[in-house]
Amino acid sequence: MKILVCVTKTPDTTAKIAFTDNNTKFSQAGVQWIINPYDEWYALVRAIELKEKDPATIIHLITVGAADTEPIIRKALALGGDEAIRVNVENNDSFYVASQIAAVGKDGGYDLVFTGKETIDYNGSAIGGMVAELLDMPYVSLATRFELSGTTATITREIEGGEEICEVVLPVVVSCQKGFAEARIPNMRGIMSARTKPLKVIEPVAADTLTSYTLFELPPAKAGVKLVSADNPEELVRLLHEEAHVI
Amino acid sequence: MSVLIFVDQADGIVKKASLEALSYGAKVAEMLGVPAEALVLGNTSVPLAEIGHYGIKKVYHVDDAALNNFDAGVYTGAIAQTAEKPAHAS
Repeated sequence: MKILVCVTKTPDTTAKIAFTDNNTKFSQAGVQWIINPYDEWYALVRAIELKEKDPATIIHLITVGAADTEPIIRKALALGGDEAIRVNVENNDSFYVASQIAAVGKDGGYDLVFTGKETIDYNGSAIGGMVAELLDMPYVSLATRFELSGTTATITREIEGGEEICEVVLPVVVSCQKGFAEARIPNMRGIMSARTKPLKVIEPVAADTLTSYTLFELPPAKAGVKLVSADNPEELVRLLHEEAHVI
Repeated sequence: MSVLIFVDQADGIVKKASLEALSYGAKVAEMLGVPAEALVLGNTSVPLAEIGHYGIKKVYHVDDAALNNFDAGVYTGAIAQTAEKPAHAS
């Protein structure tokens, strides 16, 4: 079985978010990059678990990004991927990125394509569905559990107010989220072997860029907390009435 | 041209996010000066006329057994077909 796991870099959750070029670009100054957690903790780790069960499984990683994504690709290889492909282009448009992944997927003969449910920076949640459509494969989103029996996958997915269990015959594209696998950290053997695993760099195929960013805004700063003494209810009523306007 | 809003529903209840999409889509259509139209897929007990309360001028309902359970590929096909309908372009 061949699995393609889509990974991307995102800023560390503690990174300070700032914008440049009149708030049209995300400032990368001083940002520590990590593997998008949904790609790493769930998509990649579940693929590794499947490989542990069936050692004949091959895991390919794909990322669409410039050379600065290579440290996160190496980390992903340290966790357990067999081979990585980097499409050498920087583009934030979901359709463009999905087209690059689909171009690799088309000739790869993959039985499974895993993506995270979203990236934690742009939160687009669009890549999985687009890749499935471009590859003419079924798509199951927001998956929390994945079991495989022969060529039939039983996938649990989260829906509003509950969960849904569906069965699908491979090949399939799945977007993964919490519950899909147990997060793990790379061991020393994995880190050492990741250095020599193949990382293929390919040039992008022609694809349309359908969206662009015109402006970024930070959320409004949160107002400070006002503490009112318990023996001063009049002041609390006055603040609720005059400042919060809730009574 | 028009704005088409897909209405996700289950057990006769329209999902909250779809209600937001309906209101937002109707507003966008108003700004563009085009009609807002909605699409409901599969067997449903949602009172379709009530979707009009959100500013929707026309509701398409495709009732086919293949649409009673969510399948991303099948839904994509139905939505794309509706969006590409020649009457829709008028």
